[in-house]
Amino acid sequence: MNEIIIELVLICGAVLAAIFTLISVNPIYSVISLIMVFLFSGSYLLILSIGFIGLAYFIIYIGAISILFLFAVMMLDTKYPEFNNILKFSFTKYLPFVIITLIITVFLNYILKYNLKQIIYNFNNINIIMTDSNNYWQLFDYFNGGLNIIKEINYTSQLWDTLLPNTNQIKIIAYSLYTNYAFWLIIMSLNLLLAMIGPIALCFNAYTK
Amino acid sequence: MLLSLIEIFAVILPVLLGIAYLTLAERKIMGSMQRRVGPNHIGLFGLLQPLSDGIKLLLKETIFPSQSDKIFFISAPLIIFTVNLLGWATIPFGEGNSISDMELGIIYLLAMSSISVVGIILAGWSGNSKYSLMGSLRTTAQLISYELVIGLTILTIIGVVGSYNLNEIILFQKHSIIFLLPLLPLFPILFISALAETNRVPFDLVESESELVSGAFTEYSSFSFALIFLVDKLEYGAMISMCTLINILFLGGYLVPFSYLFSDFLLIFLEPLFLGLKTCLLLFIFIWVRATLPRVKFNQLINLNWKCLLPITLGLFMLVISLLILIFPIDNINIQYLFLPFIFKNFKINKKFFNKFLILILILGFLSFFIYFIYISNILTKNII
Amino acid sequence: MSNGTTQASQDMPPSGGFKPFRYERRLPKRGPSGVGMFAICGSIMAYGWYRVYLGLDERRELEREKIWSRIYLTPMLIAEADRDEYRRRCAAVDREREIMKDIPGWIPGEGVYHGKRYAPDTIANVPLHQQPGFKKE
Repeated sequence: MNEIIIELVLICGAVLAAIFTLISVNPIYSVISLIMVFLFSGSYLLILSIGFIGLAYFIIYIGAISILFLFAVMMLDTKYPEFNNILKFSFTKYLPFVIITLIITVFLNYILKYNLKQIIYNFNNINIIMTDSNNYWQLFDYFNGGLNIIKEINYTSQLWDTLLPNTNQIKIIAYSLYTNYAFWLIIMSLNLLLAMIGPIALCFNAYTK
Repeated sequence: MLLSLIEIFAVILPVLLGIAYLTLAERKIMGSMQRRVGPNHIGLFGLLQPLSDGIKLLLKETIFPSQSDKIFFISAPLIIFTVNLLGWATIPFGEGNSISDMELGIIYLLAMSSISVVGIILAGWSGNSKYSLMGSLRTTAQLISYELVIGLTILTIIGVVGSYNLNEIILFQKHSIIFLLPLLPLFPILFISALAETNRVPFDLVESESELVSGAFTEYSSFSFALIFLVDKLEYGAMISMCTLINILFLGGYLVPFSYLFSDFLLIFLEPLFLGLKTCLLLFIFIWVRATLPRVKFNQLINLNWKCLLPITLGLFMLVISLLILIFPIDNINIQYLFLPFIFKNFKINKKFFNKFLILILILGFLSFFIYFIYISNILTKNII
Repeated sequence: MSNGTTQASQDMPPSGGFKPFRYERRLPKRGPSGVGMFAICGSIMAYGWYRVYLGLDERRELEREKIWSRIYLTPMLIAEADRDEYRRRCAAVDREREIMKDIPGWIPGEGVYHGKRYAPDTIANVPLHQQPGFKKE
């Protein structure tokens, strides 16, 4: 029960903070809401027991990128649009895009479905794992007048030979990132190089003093 | 649940007391170095001075600047202080004796010191004056610059130890030698970075006392609670955390010399004592530095980090990793490659030619480094490419 | 001024002038030279790295001992899992025999394969009353 509460608080907090990022008038409030988004997302990753990436979120996003944003917002004289009256904001102009985005997000969530599995019983050698149903059309079931999410129950054996070698998370990332996916690592590094040099190339004007 | 609360209070209350009495210790030690006595009037030898300071600050009138953002104004020092106290969760007071013995303890400490920088920006912004803003931005630039060096030194030590757990680092030092000896140049580098990270002399120009009106925290005059946090506990809290970190990394944390002579029961009491003693030694050196050295300018500070400390730290990191590979060679890589630099001793570079193809040479160099790295990783993990 | 008869004392240099004294700044370079500092640091670091090397050796041997102990434990763990699996399978066969005792031509425990080879069950043999969500009616 406690885990569900914490999970829901973090999820709602992240979504609310993201919404605040978009609708706040003061740019500093926007950046602070962005920091809250990173905070909530990082904590959610910690709860999923991916410790390294969660803490990396704290170090990289809050510790470096947010400070960069704060510097930019505070030091540079950028012009922000004034939303004098929030009711004048037109809802119908972007509505089709919003609907399409929502449909794609929701639909993709059922196509690329990853079920959060929960171990609910633990015998000597058997784990009983409960997941959401993989069958899209049978996900929600109306019976007895109520809506129930069908949970499927799978039984797996608790293999001790996956428990014998205990490696920590960072080694696991390294063992696959630098060997099997080494090519993609180089491609991603070139991507990062492009992201760093691209804005300079776009904004650099050799003729301005 | 109750036990965790007791655990947390058992760590935090002595830390708060320590911060309070560190202020007194600093004044008395600096006084001794300047041939005078520090405060000795209030209690016996001035021991109740922090109490009277706290009472004085609490009784002051609370002033909010009218144009400031109340939420940020109040929450900025709270953020800094809370995050600083959160960092005490992983620090071990004995063998495995910490509030939470995390697998990634060092990364947690780094994360906490990264988050506290946001609080400083908020404090400067909420003051609603350009002086506090500029002060806070300078402080932030200083903090994030020196955090890099701290991160790199931590990474070097992790390269030797192999685990991110703080207890593992200390246990490795128990079985071999404290890291002060093999990584001797790194110790002053980390010390200097810790001085800069906590805004201590000689790097305290942002809040240079008796010159500026305390920099980023100008508008915090007599906001009672926050003033206690800012003036006393902020700098000193960070000081104690940093000193404990240096202690764990280099001086062997809670290790007791000749620990085989003591029984296990006695060690339970001796280990936290030695953690405190070594941290006190480092704090004494912090205060000693404050009494001795003058202040540096801001450009000298930034120059020191990016042009002096960072290259040295990078070089030492490479040196340590290379030494580790040298000691435990990986599959068929021979020691003859050490002599490569001497083969190319008389290599002359044509400058114009070099400049034209500089980018190509750099890219090829980096690619070759990548390929070498991937080759090594595949050998280490016994993977067949 | 009149000369010769002044009795007031003037601050004059002593006869013969002052002794020569050093006025230039001379700060002698003290302490070890650069090479000396490198040598001292290098020797301390060399001893430190020697101890680190011993510690790393020890750690590798400890790791090796741990892994070999786990390797030696696996037969016992396999035997345990086999015993458990066999017990559950016998219980499931007994339950099946109880349920299907009236049906002619039903061999309890017969697999879906024609051969006689032992094939482990596809699902774990957990009895119905131990499964989650079971309600006694």
